[in-house]
Amino acid sequence: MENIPILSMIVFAPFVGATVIALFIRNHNKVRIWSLCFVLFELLLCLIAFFSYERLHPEQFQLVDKGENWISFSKYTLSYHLGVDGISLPLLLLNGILGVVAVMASWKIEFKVPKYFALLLILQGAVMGVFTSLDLILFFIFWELELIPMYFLISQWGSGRKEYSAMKFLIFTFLGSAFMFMGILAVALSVGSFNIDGLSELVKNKDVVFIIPQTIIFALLFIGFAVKLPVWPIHTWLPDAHTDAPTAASVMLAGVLLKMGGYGILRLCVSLFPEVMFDGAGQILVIAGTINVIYGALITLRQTDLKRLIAFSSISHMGLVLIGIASLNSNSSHIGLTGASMQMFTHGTITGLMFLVVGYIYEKSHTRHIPDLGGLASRMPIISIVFVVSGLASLGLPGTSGFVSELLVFVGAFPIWQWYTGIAAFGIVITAGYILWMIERTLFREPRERFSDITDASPFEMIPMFLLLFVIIAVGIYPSVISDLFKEGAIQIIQNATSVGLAK
Amino acid sequence: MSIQNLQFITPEITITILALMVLVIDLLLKDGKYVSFTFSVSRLLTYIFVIGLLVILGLIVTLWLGLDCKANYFAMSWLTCNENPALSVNFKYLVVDKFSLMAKFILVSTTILVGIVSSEYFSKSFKFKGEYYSLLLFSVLGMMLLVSSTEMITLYVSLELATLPLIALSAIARSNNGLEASIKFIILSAISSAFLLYGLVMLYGLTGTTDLTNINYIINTQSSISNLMLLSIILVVVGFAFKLTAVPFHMWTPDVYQGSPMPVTIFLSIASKIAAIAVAIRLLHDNLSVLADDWVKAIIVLAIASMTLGNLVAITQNNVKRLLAYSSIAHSGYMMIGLALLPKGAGVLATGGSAIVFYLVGYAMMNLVAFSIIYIVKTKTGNYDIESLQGFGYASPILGISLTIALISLIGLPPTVGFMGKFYLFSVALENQMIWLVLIGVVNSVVSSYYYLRIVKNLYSSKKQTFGSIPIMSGISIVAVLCTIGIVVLGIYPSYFIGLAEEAVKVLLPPV
Repeated sequence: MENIPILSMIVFAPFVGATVIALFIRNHNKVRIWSLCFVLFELLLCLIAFFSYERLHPEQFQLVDKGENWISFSKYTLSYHLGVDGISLPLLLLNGILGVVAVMASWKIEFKVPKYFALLLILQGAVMGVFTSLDLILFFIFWELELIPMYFLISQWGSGRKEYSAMKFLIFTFLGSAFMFMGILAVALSVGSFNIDGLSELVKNKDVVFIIPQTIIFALLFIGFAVKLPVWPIHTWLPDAHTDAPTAASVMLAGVLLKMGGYGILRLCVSLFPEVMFDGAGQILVIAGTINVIYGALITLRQTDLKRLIAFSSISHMGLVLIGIASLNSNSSHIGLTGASMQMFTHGTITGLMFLVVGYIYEKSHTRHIPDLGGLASRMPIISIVFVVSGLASLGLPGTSGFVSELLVFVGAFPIWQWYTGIAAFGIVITAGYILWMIERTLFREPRERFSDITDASPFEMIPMFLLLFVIIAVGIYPSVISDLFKEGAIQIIQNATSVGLAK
Repeated sequence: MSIQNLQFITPEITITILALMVLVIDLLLKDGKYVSFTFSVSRLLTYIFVIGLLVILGLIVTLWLGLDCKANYFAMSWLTCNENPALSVNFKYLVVDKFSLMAKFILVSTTILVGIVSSEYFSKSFKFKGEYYSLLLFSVLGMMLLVSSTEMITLYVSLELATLPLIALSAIARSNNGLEASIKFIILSAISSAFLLYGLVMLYGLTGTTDLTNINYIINTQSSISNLMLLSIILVVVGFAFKLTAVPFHMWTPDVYQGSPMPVTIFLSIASKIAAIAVAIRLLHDNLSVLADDWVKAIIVLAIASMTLGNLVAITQNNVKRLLAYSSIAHSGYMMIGLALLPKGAGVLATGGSAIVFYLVGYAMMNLVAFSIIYIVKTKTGNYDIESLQGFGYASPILGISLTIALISLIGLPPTVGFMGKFYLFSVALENQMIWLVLIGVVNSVVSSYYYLRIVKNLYSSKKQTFGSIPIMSGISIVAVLCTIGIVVLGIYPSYFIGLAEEAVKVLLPPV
């Protein structure tokens, strides 16, 4: 067990799978089955990684794969370096689960099947790379690599204004990552190392002369991650991308791609520059987060397209991640950060499930327009039940995972930012409003004539739904299976921040 | 110059012989007037061209190893190895060092690929195949001498030798567009040569020597740098800016690129840029570093203008050839960031210079792929409109993916050489506090993603066009696929090549 490069396998198995599928398999059914095998294998690898993580040593990166001297130029050396800690491991697992869901949700794709599944696998592999990379440039390469499959998935297999949305998605993210690229280079060139492991120690060194002031580096990095998260006012790509993307792409986009933004803020912005956080960046983050929560929720109320509605609700929920992160203070506890990470995980499963269900509803009823829907509960009881449960989880009903993360965020943030947290908590009420209203309009009311012959989910379609439902309920009832890991990661960040705070 | 040293210019000698040989064979065999053969003459010429250049590549590699005395294990006993290995061999007018050899290697390999593309471009009825190949060879000869030259007159003559054949080449297809391109090209290159020549003459007048290797020393001994000296530097920079297609001296580029036959366009956009950058590095850095403060400012302005204007104008283009012409203007801008870095100190030269060399190689491969696949599309649809690409990605999956990878690389997204090149260049620039320049550079990459993706969008547009069968085993396709593999390989593992480039650029460092 010790010598198997498990993380390298996790990162590159999807790429191998994509190559095999794109080049060697022509039969559409075989393509589907093979890609399912690959994502299941991937999930298995993620579970192995999850359980072989030693919780006794949270202070160091584990399962490290390192190859020295990948690229070296002048006095810098880039290495191939993978590893996980408490923050990245659950996100890895999340990506593994959603990969399976995405492939199973794409079973009915008929257009260019091998290419579609190959791109889906590349997407999954690239995101795995983002969560495991411990070299700044490797991180950035995987970060950008994810753009290309996503661009094609939206522009080729999407609906509506798909090409516009794909282009918008790519240009927004690319612009963000251009700033981030400068930020990464500025950090790495200032301290003379591209290695994320131990970078925060180097940054703290008083002798380091920064090429660009720390505050600006923080801002550059933050812009890159904020586009991805997304943060108001650079969120406008998200509703378009979600609305026009195929179901599986929406699941991946909401489930893991947005999490890359949150992960990046935790891993680079906050861990490296806690001082900047104390000096006002925290305030900006919490304001942005509160706007996200309230604005997102208010806009969601007005949506008539199911997918667009969920997309805007994602913006609202991602605001909570920001508020959780903003709770970082020189004397704060880990709860806020744990909550933020938990929110990323739970939002991934809940929104992934909602997009999946909406995908099924659209597939069967051929409309996502809410006024055209209604009375589906009597025609498709199982889908409706799942939809209701996921909706309730999304509004934070106790017993579901959504409750845990929201509670942690508010508990963590309240001592630091009473007013903002108070305002943001009001967002929950609006959330309840739009979720319940949406459920009422789509599932209940009078059954419509034109939906008289639509069917419920087939057993095959139930598998991914119940898989996600299981995760949501399980984490809701026994959250520490995930939150303990996040807590360990968060404590590392807090300790680092506190030592800086004390030094001041 | 002793006769013994002639071995170091064997590549140039061989290429001259090759060019004349091509001309004579074509003369003798054409029309079967003198000697008649059963096989096609034009194919014979292509083989001679390619094999001859491969031999020259071999010579260049041998010389590279020979400069280090590493060549003894080759059966190359004629290459005398210096007792105390010097990194360069200096003639009075030419210098053969690793830097020039590296530039020559890239030039010759580009020319081989261009030759393969041309063999299919020109139809059987095309009468000037011999002239075409020999003009191409003479132009390469000029470029090879250019990157080696250390003396003003040699520099100027080899520059003209490189340019004049290109003017003829751009009109060789005898189309109206080609003639228009040729006329524009001849007028503007004459103007640029005049600028350059005027600058060089002033330098001569002020320093009293045409030998560039001494020029730093002479300027240093003068009490102050006169305004006339500054003017001469400005004129030299302007002269090179024309060749580098830097804004605002880029006006000829889109028209000439669009009007010339495709292989000539490829050659123009790659080889002449390589030569121009290489000679700019040598002349500006190596020979005029005393005046660095002055020319760096000019280069920075040119770099910013080229990046920004190139990318912005490319957005509105509907002709893919023209679009790529503007994109090449933008890429010149990125490379000029590297030029602006050179005088920042010895350590930077090694990294900044090798960053340019690395970027150049990447740029050469990306452009080869893009232009040649666009050309394949044109043979099927008859024009270079961006709409004519619609559905090509489905008609030919391999070429579609190759073009997509090339365009992704041109944008600068990983895992391609375009990303690595920009990463390398920008990190060196940032290390030297050129924050604004880097910021403009990265934002420009974002802008460029729009128009490159427009091509990709059309490539995979669902609107189907009939392309007929697209042969994948043709020379052009093979060149494109090979270069695509190169793009990805250098994008994932660039270390070895970066090492070579650093080794090549080190010779330009002032002796410690």
